[in-house]
Amino acid sequence: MCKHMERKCLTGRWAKQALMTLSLLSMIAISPILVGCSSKSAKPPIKATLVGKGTIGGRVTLEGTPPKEQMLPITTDASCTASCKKHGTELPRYTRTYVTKDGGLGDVLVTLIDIPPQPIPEGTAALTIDQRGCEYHPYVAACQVGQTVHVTNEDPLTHNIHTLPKVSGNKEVNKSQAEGSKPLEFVYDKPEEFLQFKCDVHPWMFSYVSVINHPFFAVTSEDGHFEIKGLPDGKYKVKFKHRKAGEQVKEVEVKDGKATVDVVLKVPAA
Amino acid sequence: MTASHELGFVRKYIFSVDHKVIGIQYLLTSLTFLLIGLTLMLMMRWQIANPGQPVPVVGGLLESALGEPAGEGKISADLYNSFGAMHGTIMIFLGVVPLVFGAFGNYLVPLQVGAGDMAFPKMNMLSYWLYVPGGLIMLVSFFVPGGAAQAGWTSYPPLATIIPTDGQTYWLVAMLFIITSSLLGSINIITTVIQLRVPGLTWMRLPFFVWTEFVTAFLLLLAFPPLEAGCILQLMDRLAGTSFFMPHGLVVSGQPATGLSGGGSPLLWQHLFWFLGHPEVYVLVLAPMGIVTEVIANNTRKPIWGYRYLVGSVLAIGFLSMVVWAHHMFVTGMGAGIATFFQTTTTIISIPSVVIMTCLMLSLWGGSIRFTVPMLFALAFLSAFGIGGLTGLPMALPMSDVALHDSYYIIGHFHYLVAPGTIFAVFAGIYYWFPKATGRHMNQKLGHVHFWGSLVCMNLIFFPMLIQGLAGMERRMSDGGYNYSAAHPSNEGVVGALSGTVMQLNGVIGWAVLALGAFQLPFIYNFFSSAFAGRRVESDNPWQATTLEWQTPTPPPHGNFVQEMFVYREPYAYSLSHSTQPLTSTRKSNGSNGKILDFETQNQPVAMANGNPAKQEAPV
Amino acid sequence: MKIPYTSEIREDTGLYNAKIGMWLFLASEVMLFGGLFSAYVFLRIGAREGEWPHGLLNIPIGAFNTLVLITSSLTVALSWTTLKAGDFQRYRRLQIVTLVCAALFLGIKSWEYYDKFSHYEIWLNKPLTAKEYPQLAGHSTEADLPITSVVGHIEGVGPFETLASLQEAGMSTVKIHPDAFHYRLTALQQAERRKVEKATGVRAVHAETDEHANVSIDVSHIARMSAFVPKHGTFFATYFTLTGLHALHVVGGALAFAFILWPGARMWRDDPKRYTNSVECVGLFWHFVDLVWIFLFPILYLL
Repeated sequence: MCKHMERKCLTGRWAKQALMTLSLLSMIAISPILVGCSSKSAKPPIKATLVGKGTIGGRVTLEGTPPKEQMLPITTDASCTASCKKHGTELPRYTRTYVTKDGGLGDVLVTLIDIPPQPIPEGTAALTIDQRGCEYHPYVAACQVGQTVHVTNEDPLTHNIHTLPKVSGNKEVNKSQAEGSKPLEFVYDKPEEFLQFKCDVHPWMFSYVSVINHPFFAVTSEDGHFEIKGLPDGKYKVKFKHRKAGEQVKEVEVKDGKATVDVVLKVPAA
Repeated sequence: MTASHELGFVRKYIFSVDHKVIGIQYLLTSLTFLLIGLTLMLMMRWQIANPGQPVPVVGGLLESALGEPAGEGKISADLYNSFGAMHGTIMIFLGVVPLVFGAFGNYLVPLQVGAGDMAFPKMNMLSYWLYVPGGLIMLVSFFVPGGAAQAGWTSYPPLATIIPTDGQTYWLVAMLFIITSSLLGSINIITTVIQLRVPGLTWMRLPFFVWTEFVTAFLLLLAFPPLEAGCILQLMDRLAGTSFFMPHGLVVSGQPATGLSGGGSPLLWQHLFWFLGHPEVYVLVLAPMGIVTEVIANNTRKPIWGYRYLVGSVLAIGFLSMVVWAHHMFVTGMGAGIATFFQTTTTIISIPSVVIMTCLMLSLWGGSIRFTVPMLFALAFLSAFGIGGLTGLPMALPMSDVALHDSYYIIGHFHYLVAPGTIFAVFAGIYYWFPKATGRHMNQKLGHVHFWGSLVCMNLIFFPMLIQGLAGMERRMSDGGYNYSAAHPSNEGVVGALSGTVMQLNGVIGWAVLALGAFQLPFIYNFFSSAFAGRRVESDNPWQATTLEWQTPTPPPHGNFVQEMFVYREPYAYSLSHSTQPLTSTRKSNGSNGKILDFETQNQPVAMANGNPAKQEAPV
Repeated sequence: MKIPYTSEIREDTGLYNAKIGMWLFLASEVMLFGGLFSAYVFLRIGAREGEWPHGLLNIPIGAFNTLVLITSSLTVALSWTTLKAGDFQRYRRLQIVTLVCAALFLGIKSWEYYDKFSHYEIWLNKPLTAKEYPQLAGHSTEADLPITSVVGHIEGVGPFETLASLQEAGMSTVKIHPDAFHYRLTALQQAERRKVEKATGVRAVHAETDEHANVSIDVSHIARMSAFVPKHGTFFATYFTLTGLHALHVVGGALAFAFILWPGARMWRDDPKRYTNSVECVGLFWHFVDLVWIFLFPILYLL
């Protein structure tokens, strides 16, 4: 340490102090990035405990008359109209809360519950959502935790994809996507049901993506059918959830690689 | 006078407390940021002229650096927004203010008042080393989730609060660093000017440049803290969920915002921001006026006309600039009474600015003008400031401002003031003081190329913007206005849709920006090659100037002056008929070598009637 | 190379460098706190009817803190004059008192903060009536007064809890000890109320009841719940920001004094004039910090 106020001695001390201060400041500046990076790579790999060839199939039907769909806030956009023409579609006029065909109920999330988290099976492609004719296709979808969601823009105009997750740990993101640009990718870390994707430019555009922490899920087709593959024999609990028509849990047993479960969801009382 | 201490490289060039080293550090860092800001704008103007096309040459680089927002080398709309916000922020807070205040102020103010260094050298070092982390945080913000700040350089809430871009938070934190740096610098400059003037250097003998730095320092000292308060509040809104700026009933993306208490006001931020924002623009312009004054006095070989008026005007501008801020907020729905108040103060503040311009222009009359490169830039400043200032008048009046607010007219207006205005003055200053700082001249031919190219390009860029703004083109449109143009299918027959001519100007501007970038290359080359291998100066005072900074060895050593300094006269004693000093001089240090001198330096002793110089006593 | 006027005074200004520097710094601090005070005024004027709370801060404690800070300013001023007279030991004793006062101020502030963080406001889905819960009626005389929110400590619940965390913990009811204060009325209005009570004999609804009788609230009846944290509303956001920034300044000033008192005391031997000047400059800062509190206390606690 400097015993006397020698300039040379003090300069070294000042330099050290300045260097320490600067490193501290830089660390403060850079630490958020490091924290962000490290937290992602710190997770241990999940073990796959449910591997098999069994299938759970079935159908969801709707009881009761669904309420009238509401009109969508469509704003005239010549580019949207042009794009619809190109794709042979029409701009949607009404909400699509209840999608039914032959008594079946579509857009129902079917997923196994009370099973441990499973890794993404090899060869699973990304979930693709297209923006076509100023609509998201599909309207309701599901993907796995950590699985990439690809959003493409097939319209000759700019959309933005604004995701509004409610579960903390899933980040809100707002990205713009010009016509003809590369697909945008979204990945989620936490399970969430019906995570909302919306476009701020076209306020009628919505898509709901459920994020599940295992691969045993499906979304029912228009007529209510679904199929979940890849399960070993055993007893499972299956949850059926619709955005408005509530949820139900049914127990099912996969024997010799097959199981069928049908469920009836009711239109809730007004 | 100067002690020789053995300083290591780090202590001498990195953590130096010498104001000249710090000034050069500021200069190099801020010029780099200026270049970064120009590059951002280059890419933005490309996008405007060619919406949706991949950026040539650098598109791949952009994609590998920034990822998805620059997918396939195309600038997406949110990337455009962040480029726009960061262009403004970087140019103003990381480029021009550190340049005119940190670089020129630090280097020249102690020299021009005759001091050996600033009043607080260690605090000077601290202020530079707070500026650098602030700048780094701003740059780092491009690479964080969500990208850099996207809500404009003005960071208006509620958008700036709810936008899920991490860069917005980084912007706020960096601003705290930058503001603190400026505050410390202001304290230093003011104290230096008040306390360290050498004997004989009275207030009315100060070079006008020092006056402008003095007023600038006060503006920064008093106007920045409310913005600092605002940044703290916005940080709390973003991080702690407070509602300082979030009103009741806020609806975000069609859904009511949940989890907020509401009760705040977005207008509060606007007041806090523009309370700084307006003095800030005078910070950008006053010191350059000072530089231009020095260069004009020197290159016309005449005293500046109306020194007292200049001083009075700069003080008036300093005071008035604190009471005009809401002219940036005329469209917020303020009442007629308040609008009238700000309209009045804003039109009044144009008067001292005009006085300054008039004094400078009258200074040219009858002068023996040397068209050196600094002088060319200084003259261009006068016309550019004239255009910029005059185009500002419609915005002073609320009724016309309502039509022009947030249009390209405003962009043209303020860029005329800062680009061919401030930046040209900065170039003038660099070419002018380069010989003193390095002992070498910059290459004059390259300087001419730099000047004429930049002058033509600047006008080609910003004059069309005035036209576009009057035609109704709004700012911050990533597609260059295509959505509002007559060419867009939705706009058939729509009155007021932007015409083809107006849209074509985007192309003209795009090429002009590219050319402007190209014309900076001779300057960059000139700057570095002359620093190492330029033509050496023939004396310590190659421009034959009167102010004290030229009375040091070249480059000035630690401690600046090798003899005790006294000041005997006003700062611009050129071609004075009452000159009492011998008309010939053999003093080599005054660059004359026996020729007739047409100037007296400030510290030259007054000759007595008998021809002998006065005793070296400290005059009053 | 020596910079002039670091210790000696420049004749025509009558000041040494650091003093000007400190005054300039204080000018910028005035603008900083001024900006925050302006924000306070702006937000309070713009607050909706009944939403700006009153009487939620403990006035006696705030007043005591004020006295503590004033005392510390006194000891600072005395220590500087003592130092000018050359008595280092007495200066040291006075400065220790200053630092003790600073620590006391910060300690009390921390206790206040902790108390606030464990204090809750619960907004209800359906209002309760003053008739059912007279202890919530404050100074109102209306028995039908609808009570939309309850303020107080919650039994068994510590600081920083939210509705979500309570639900996660599985709580179905919360027992809240309501505050005796009720922020429907300002301090002035409460005084008015008491005067009217005295004159007319019409008493407030709560008058005969135990003001602290617990209220049990079903978690499903809670529309919103918040501790007194910055997020609670603009009043607390402003309170915490203003007092928090002020507290940081108290810490800074105390650290500066401590540095001068101990590690930096060597300068007293080498350059006593400069040492005295540095005490004077930090003293100026300290007086400013005290002055800010003199403004903060009435604005936040009393008005």
